[in-house]
Amino acid sequence: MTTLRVPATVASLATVAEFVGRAVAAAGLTEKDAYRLRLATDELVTNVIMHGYPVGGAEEIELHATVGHGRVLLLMEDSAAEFDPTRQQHRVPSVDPDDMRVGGFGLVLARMSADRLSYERIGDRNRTIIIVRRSDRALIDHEDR
Amino acid sequence: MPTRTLDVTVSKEGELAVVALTGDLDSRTAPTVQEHVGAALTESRLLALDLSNLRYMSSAGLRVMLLSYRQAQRAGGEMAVVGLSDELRMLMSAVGFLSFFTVADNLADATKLLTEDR
Repeated sequence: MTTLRVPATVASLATVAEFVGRAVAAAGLTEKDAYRLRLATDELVTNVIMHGYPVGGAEEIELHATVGHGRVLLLMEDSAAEFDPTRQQHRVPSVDPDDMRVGGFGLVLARMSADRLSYERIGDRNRTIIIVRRSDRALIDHEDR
Repeated sequence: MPTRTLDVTVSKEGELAVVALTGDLDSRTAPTVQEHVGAALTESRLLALDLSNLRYMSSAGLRVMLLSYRQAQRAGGEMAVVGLSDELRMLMSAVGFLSFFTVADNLADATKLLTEDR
């Protein structure tokens, strides 16, 4: 298992992407799988940064990557307020650009990207687990497009 | 290991103001794009967001697209997105954007699509 601890700021997204990239390479995932894992991680980390922690604090986010045969399990831990990304309403995309709310896309994409997304609250910590397997599947299945 | 940055260039191609992105568009790099889009729309009412060399985009890029679309509409103009990869096309599809965005393969097609109804 490898671990990354970063400040909870958007500047950390590049470091997070490099960390995910190393796990993807070690697991031998395809480019499509790699995109899905990066996207799911990016969206969940960004959500904690933007909405979980108060602005201007000195909080951190921890990522733990476990690489198996053709699979990456990524555990994200943070100390923000309790938030379960698996229980949020799946927003049906609007087709009206004038009424569409700007935002809320991230969690939808995270759920689509991950092969499995789970959550637990242990003490004062959020623990979100993302699993992506080598499948070469696209972000959305053909029939959903 | 490639650097995770974003290069933004603004140019004029005929009637189009072109904002071209190279690299990674996420919450860290999105504000820069929005600034360039605003500047480009002062040059022309027809805006092309050229994503041919965009390697990665998160939902932050979708927000940039939607805000740019509205910005162009408010300016009395129109906007097209150019050069979508399969991944970008799917991101847009996932949130319903393909139903209202003008999508073109290249800048010549974008010009044609944005000017043909005038």
